[in-house]
Amino acid sequence: MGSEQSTFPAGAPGSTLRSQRDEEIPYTQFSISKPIDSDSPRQSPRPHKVKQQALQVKPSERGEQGSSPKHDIVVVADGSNVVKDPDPELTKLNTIPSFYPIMKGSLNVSTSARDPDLLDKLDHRTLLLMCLRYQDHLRQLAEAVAFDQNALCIRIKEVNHTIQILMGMLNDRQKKYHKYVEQFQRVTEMVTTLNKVKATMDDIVPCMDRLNQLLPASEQLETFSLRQGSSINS
Amino acid sequence: MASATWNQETKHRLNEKITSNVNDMGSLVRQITRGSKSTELLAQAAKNFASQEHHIQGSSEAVKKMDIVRSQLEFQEAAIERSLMHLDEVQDQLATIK
Repeated sequence: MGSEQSTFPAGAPGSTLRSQRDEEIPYTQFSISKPIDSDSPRQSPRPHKVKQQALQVKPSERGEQGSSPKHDIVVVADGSNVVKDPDPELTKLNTIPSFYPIMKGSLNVSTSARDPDLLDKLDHRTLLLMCLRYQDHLRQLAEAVAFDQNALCIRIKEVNHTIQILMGMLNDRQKKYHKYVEQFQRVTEMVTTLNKVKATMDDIVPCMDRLNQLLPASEQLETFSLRQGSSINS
Repeated sequence: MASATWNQETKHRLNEKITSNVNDMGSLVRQITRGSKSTELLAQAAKNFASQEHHIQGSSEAVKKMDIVRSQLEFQEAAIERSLMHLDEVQDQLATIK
């Protein structure tokens, strides 16, 4: 709605825009009624009905109407129009912070203001030597690392070999001890056998004694014993 | 840098200059890294080290087996001790019999 009214030209009855020209320009009666070229008194250039009516009114009333809001100055406010970036690449270039090149002498500096330390040309030999030095440095580093790695490989092989030898020795020892254990277990068997023998002896000896006593005195044997020197005759 | 006559052609030429500079620096650095045969040496060293892997694995398995053998030896040692005690008893009994 507001846009419709603003399309009408200023001063037309339907528009809300009023420019300075549309207001009552304070023409005096004198200048209107008696123009310079002494022609017939002309009307106000504005075909305004109120103005024609005001011509017949006293000047005091005109003054009152002069203080009406029609005489206020309307200022068209400066809208915040964004200035379009004509060249985005140039703007981006300008955002880069400025710095000096390696050869400051390549910039256009006057000869009087020139610093005698400034470089103008670069010696290609020194640059080549620097690059070669860097290359050599990289090679030395790589050689040092490779050397250490190779030394580690050799140590790994040595350690593996040692472990294998130790393993063999341990296995041999384990087999030997296995045989010893078997031999020692024979001792345990001997113990059990001896116990059995003792028990049986304890059982048998009283029986043998009784049998011996039952025999006639001439054929009685000696007391049975396991001691040395004793002979058991059947 | 703000020039009124900053047009397409200057931009194009600047672009080309920058491209050629960057390419030259790239080839220089590549020459340096290739010239010092650092990558090749390091790759060879890494391959050698990786080939020791099966040695390392064999060593670790051998160590584990040694641990088992050690525990077996412990058992055997305990058995021998028991047998030694029985041996003492046997000697006592033989002494009483004699």
